[in-house]
Amino acid sequence: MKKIILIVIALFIILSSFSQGSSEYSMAVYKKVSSINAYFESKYKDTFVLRRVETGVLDLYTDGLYGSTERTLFADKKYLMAAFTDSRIKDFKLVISQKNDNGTWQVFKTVNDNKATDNKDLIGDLEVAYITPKTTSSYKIEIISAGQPSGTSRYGIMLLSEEISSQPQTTNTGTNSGNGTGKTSSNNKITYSVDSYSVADYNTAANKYGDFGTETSYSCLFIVNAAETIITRKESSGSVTVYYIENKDDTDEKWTDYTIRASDGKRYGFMLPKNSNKYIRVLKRDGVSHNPLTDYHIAGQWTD
Amino acid sequence: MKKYKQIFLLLSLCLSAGAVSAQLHSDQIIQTTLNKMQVINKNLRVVEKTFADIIFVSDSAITDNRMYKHTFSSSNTYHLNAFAVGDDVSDLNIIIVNSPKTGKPKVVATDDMTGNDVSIKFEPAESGTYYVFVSGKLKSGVNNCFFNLIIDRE
Repeated sequence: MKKIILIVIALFIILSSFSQGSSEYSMAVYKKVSSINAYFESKYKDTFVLRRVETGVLDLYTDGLYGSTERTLFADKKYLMAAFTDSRIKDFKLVISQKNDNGTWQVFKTVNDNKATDNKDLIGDLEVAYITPKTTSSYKIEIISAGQPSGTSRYGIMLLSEEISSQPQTTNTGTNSGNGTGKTSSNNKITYSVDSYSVADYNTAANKYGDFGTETSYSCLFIVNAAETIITRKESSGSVTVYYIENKDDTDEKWTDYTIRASDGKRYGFMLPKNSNKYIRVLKRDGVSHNPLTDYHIAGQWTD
Repeated sequence: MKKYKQIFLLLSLCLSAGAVSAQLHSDQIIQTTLNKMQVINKNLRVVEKTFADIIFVSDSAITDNRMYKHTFSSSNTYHLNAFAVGDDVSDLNIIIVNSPKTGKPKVVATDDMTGNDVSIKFEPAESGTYYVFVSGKLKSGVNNCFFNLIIDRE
């Protein structure tokens, strides 16, 4: 009986010490987040604000350890990035990449200045980068620690940007009529899990849309955000595309018609069913910039 | 001399009070995160990831500020906790969407709580990558809200 109690106590101590070790590093990394934020606040006052903080455990890859976060950054705006690892990783490089139109990543900047090498506060390495992107795009901030690791490490990535008031509040081009439902802070979440879609092309000569074509099988998830400003398309392959909602027409009893803009600037009429999530419709024009209020005469221009 | 000391002390107190009131809510969220992590660690759970970002009243300028990718294992039980300052947001929500190799993605879990501090206990049926969405109902007059999401496992 005594033996069993001793074994249980020993196991408890082992588990506690293991957990303590893990928690020690996770706390150290987040305390670093706190101290860096305090430092930047005192250094930059209100000119830079914190936008993203990500902490976690670095993943093992073929040639070392890796951690990353992705976020849209805006053209001509100043960003500050700080990345750090706990004391188990004493050197890494910070790589910032920009997503190209074809979906590939292009390295924008690499930093390896080793700003923390004294293992103070259980921090192994710290890298800081300032960038001003020339184009609005998705950017990836990566921590890459090459070499064969003996274990893993916790990391932290922080992204700060210029003051919020100078952040572009919308990418709409001034053509948004604002005649939606006005649910700008609504909590509504609309998720469409669709099986098929059909497309109606615009007939320039006739100045109207043709009939919707054959339904095409299409497994996809669409999520309309709470403010009804974004439709996110999530493919089964894992790729995610975001469209900005420029206009909404809710007058039809069967369909909610959104005018949406893709990141390449093309606009589409996008019709989501009110009573079923299985089938969507897309009104496709030539992609040339045009006024959604006058170019999309949706009602009455399709046949059920 | 004593008088000067008192004035200096008073001035220091005033300056400190001013500094506190000028703090952004990100400070509060970072401190709350540290407190919550301590509780998680005390309960012998492991913090896998934390994500903090901003919910905007008009989110059209931001494409990926409230969407995160995380790998979950079916052999673990996870807790997802999203929180923000109560003055900023009246309701936060967490949505978890799977990312199957074949077939369409599906919402696999949503929280059923209201308020500025919501949680989900998540036991994934399959191991793999999932997307976690955080949405929020901002309070009147609030244009943006700094929030944090903690993912921990038992």
